[in-house]
Amino acid sequence: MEASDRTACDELVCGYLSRLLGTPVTADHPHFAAASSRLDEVLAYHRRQFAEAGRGAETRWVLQQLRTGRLPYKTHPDCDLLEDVFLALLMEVGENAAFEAFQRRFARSVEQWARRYAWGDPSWGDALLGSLFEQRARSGSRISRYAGWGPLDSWVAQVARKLAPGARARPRVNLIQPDDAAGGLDGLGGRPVAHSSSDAAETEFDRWNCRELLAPAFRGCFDVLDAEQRVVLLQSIVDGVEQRQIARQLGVPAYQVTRTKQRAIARVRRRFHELAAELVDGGQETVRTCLELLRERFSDVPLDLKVIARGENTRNSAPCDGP
Amino acid sequence: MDDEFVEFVARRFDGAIAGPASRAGECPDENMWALLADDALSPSERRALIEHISRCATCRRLASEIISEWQVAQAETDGPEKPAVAIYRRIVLFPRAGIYAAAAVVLLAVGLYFASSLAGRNDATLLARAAQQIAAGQYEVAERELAGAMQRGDASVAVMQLRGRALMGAALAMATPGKAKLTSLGSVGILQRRTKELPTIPVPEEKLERALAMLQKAAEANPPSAAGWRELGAALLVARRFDEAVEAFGRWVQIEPSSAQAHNARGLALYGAECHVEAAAAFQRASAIASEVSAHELNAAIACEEAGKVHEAQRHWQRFLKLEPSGPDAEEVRRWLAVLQKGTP
Repeated sequence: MEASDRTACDELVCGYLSRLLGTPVTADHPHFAAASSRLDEVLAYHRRQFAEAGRGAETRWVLQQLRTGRLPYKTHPDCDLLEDVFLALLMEVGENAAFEAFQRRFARSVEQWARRYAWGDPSWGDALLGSLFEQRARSGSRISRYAGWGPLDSWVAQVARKLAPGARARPRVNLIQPDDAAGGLDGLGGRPVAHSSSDAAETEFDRWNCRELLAPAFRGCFDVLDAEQRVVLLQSIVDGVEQRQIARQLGVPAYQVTRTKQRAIARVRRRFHELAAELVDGGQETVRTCLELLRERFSDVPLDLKVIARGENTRNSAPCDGP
Repeated sequence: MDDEFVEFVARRFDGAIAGPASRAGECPDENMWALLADDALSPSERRALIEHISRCATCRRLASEIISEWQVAQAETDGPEKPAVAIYRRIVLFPRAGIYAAAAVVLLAVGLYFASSLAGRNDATLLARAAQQIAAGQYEVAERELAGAMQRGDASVAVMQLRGRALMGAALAMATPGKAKLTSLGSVGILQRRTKELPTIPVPEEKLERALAMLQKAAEANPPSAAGWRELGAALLVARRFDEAVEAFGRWVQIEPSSAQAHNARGLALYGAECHVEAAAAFQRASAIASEVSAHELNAAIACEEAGKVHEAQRHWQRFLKLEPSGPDAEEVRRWLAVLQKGTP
């Protein structure tokens, strides 16, 4: 970094610290060195980003962009990224003024996150704040992990999301109320019951251990897909994400996601046929039964009947570990 | 519609397909997730993230959750004075007790007629008596009588169904209140990592097995009969074997595709299996067929919320209120709807 840039950075650090702490700060302030070092890290990251985007990477220009929230791939109006960085740093070192500023700034956001992730439980908001500042033996406080890549708000929101699963468990959801189900199940007394056995449903498929037997084939099916195809297929089919959202995530037009998905499905089906044939050739008797079960369930299983016909139907003979 | 076979494979083997995170490299931290949430990833970061989530199931689900919120995030702006607390939620299998009671009588009558016409040797008196005993909670007595009839060679569908019902009733009667934790039942999509504690009642496994086996036998003995699959599905639902219940109700839906009750019941099983997106679709189908039934709207609203479809959920809550403006749930739903609407632009 050039000397003039260094001076500009130092002035900037002093200015921000003075504002946040409410007292004049000079280069001999105890937090100055840490703040200066943090600024260098943030600056280095964003200079790389601007360079990748084919835009200027000159220090003062980048600093100006960060101060006005103009990041290379997104503009955040009313965001001063450098203020966020220094606020986080001062909280990390336990400055009360910064903590109060943080609380003032995030009070409403915490309420929103509590509503979104913890069904409005106000105590969850306190837990979130506590987890940000709690000092851990090895990793320090969580707030120290904020790297200044984007606004502090966005980062805290993701921390909130991460802390949510425990709190997010919905209020007691009685799937079937006894009164409803008593009628609904013809007087069977429709109370949900617990299983002493495994949670997994013991379908015939499971009883024949098909999940394990066919696992290599199913894993292999997806191994032929490239990263984008896998993500499109799994996010749309398993996670139920809309295609236009996946498109936005991938940075491609929506129609391309449709095509990618179709191609991925075709490849999975083709590969399954090959792998299933290999498994049958491998001589595992029960594999044929599992494939038959699949065919029964899905009329469009991509399997040549001849593959199954190569051996006798094993369906009527119990498997070693079967029922 | 998605390829059903590929969907099955993807769902069943999700964890295995995705592999452990170690195979996919180090998981992204909140800084990266914040960039994704802001849609501010650089091309290289985007590539790295896609590569990672294609191998790490946990991170892929998190990414899915984040990008699914791109639309609904706007709906959650300013919160109410007092944050919303838990809404009392209820999934209703069938609409109203009165309607159901009437339907039960009709079904029983139809069942008796069907049974007596199908199996000439069936003693209608025996069936009627057994049905009365079951209704009165005398499951063991009914079961003994029906077992005797089967030993005498009367293994008609109606007898098997009633016996299965009696066995089920007996199993549940022996149950003691308790709690069990429901975790990761089946494939559940983006909400998989959520867990719920549901009040449950442990029942003697052996009795439950016998009851389900009998109902399964009855359903398979007469596959075109919707009643058999319906009965089996309902019992499986009680037994919390949601995946199997989905299949049984699926058969019912195949036989009676225009039955709102069938779609509603399938939705319940899917909800139990935590397939919230599919459950919402099933409830919505039920709602489209029988738009005058408030329970379908209530169920659809709950499932939509679980699936993260806040706007659609709001629509169903509104329809529910329209249909049942003074019902027992109305006040709570109204309050909840106000909370949601306050945050909607």
